Amino acid sequence: MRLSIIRRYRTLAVALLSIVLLGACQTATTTTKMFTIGVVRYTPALDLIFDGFKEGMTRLGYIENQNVIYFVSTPAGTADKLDPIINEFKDKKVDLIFSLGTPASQAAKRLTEGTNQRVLFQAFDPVLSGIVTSLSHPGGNMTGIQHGLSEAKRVEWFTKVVPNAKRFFVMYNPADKSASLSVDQIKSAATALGIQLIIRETKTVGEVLTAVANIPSDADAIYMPADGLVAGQMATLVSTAYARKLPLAVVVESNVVNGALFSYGFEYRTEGVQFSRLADQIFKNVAPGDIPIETAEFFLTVNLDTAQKIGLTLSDDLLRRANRIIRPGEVQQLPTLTFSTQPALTPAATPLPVERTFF
Amino acid sequence: MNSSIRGRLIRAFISVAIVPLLLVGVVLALLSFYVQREQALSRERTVAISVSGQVNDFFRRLEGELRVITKDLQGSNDTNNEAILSRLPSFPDTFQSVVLLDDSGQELAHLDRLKVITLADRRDWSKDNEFILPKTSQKIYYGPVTISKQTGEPSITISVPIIEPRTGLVSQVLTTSVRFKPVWDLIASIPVDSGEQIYIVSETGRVVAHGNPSVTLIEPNYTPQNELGIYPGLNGNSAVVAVRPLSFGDPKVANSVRVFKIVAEKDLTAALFLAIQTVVVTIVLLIVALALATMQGFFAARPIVSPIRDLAAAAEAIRVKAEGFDPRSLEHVMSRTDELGQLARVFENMGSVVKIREQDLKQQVQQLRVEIDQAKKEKQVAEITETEMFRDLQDKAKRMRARGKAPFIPDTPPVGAEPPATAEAAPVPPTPPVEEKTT
Repeated sequence: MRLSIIRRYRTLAVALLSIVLLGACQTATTTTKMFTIGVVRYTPALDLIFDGFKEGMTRLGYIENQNVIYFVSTPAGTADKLDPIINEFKDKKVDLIFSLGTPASQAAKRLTEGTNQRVLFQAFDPVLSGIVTSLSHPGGNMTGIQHGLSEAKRVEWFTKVVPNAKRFFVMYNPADKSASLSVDQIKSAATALGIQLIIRETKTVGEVLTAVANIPSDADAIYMPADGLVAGQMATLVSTAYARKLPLAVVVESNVVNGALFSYGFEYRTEGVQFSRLADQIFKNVAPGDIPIETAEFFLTVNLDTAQKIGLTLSDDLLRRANRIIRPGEVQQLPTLTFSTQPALTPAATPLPVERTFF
Repeated sequence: MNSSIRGRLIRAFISVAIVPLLLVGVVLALLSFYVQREQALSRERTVAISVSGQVNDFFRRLEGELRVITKDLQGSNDTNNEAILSRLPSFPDTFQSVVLLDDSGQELAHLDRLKVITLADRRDWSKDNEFILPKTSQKIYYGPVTISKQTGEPSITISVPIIEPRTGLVSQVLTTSVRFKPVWDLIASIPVDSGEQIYIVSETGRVVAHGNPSVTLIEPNYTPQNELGIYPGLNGNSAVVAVRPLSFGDPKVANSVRVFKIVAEKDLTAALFLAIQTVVVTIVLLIVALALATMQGFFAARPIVSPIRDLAAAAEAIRVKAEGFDPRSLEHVMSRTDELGQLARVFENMGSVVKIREQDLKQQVQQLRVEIDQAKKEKQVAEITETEMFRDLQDKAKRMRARGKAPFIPDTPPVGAEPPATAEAAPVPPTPPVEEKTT
């Protein structure tokens, strides 16, 4: 009799324990979702954005290979090589396509419009580029950050940095919408400020290198527009600027760190961190079309070391107003920038598990 | 079940287990709810006051910057104006544009964060409040919030009059457009709990600052209902909302005061998380207690109910027929040492006695029945032997026995003669009654 009761209680205890364990298992099986992000690179010049993005994502709790995997394409270099990259990301159903550069963002728009593929883009002017129709309500499957509002002001700043410069040498790739929009703004500002532009269209790396080698002797300065193709040849541009003692104005701070004279525009890492906040919202199931397009912050950066090398004296007033000053000894080693011939996708720096690698 | 002892016992166990728990749970939940609500209201009010102070400090600092720069601008020539303005520490990060106007509202200098301003771009401000109000009132003027078409960012105008020290008249007006972006960053830097958000609403109901820029850029509108309470927040969900008004500008000057509302809200679910958790825990505990009490009631009632049931079955067996009572059916109950065991033993004794008595009675009844049957037979025999006909027959028999010694003369007619006409001629002895057999 007593044994029977003990058995019954034992059964009851086992049943209760099972319920508790099942509950615990339920909690334990609420595993963290693994997010996948396909990064479409138009040019390696934009890689620092991705670095900033990863930094921001880590701050927001998205740890690489723990709950987020980055699939990074090799730089496309030309617009025609973007489609296979984007299509591959689409086919693999990544949670987010992160397109860097206006051409990549335009291609992403074209290939993903009307689908559920979520896209985070970076573009010079997303409205004029045809990527979205409204900044506050982009709609569709895309949102991102614009950075094309500083060109006119950069021209004005350049006239303060180099007051005597009246003829700016400008190279740009007309096939790149961001470059052409950038040049439009430069032209407008130059006209207002009485600056003469020497413009060269460069559609290939070879043409860029040729144009750099043949900068007219009467050019007072080199003005680089928002052009990924030209930005990819920064090392050549900087060495030429040093050799010819020409002031070089660039879009982003990192290129000033790498030897250009000055920049007024967005900063890659800061913009990357800004992107991470948008990605976080998308991963929290906010529709990209409901997230307004943001504008990158602009910074004035000057390189005193470069100024010394080209024999230029920068005014104290200008230095006081700069957000960042690169002093002698702070110049970083330029990375070797090359374009691939095949638009193959490569995994992120950290090796990925084989089953998740689709390259 | 409802009227059974088992049902009553189980219900009693459940009541004993659940009622106190329910009472304690309800009291705790209510207490937790009220405490948490007060805490949430208090926290949001504190946050709103704190943010209000920080935002106020931010704009006062900008005012200070502008006041300092106006001292440098007094007496400067046109060529120096732009250089002086460009020294504003908050330009271009905070000030979207800075415009110096002369005493007639004409631009003397104009700096813009994004646009290149040439002489041709300069315009007349003489009919704009940004010039008229600070000039006439000699007070700092705050204009309405405007939205940038290029970026979607809100900004506000701050105009500072520059007063000529010798005459005390306004000689120039410095008008600036201030971005709210630094206020966004300020709010974003304030740590918030889960479900909590802080934002600033303009007097038109437009959210002009929020820790998440996306919220501001999507151009939402929100009108807080009152300064403190629980009502729909910015997302439309019930929230604990605290509102702190913050005004800029001189109230003595018409149309120059801008009132912002600093809102700190926390989603009701998050704010009352502990209270909700208490309710959930109470409910879970109630369910567990209910299950345990039911099982406990079941197991506890079993040793009480089972013997009673056996006793009831034995009693029922005795009621129907005492012979059907099997004392062995109560053996396990009798083995108990408690009152039920005692009851079973007494009952078994009683049952056995009843059974024996019934068996005795049955035997006695059987005996009586046999005796009655014997008497009945004797009576019937007597009734037969005492009849006239029997006597006649006896006489005849005697005579026949006597005649046995003489030649036989039969009384019956010879063969072929007529049979007697009535039954009386050949009476049939009555059939003895069949003995009733009892099973």
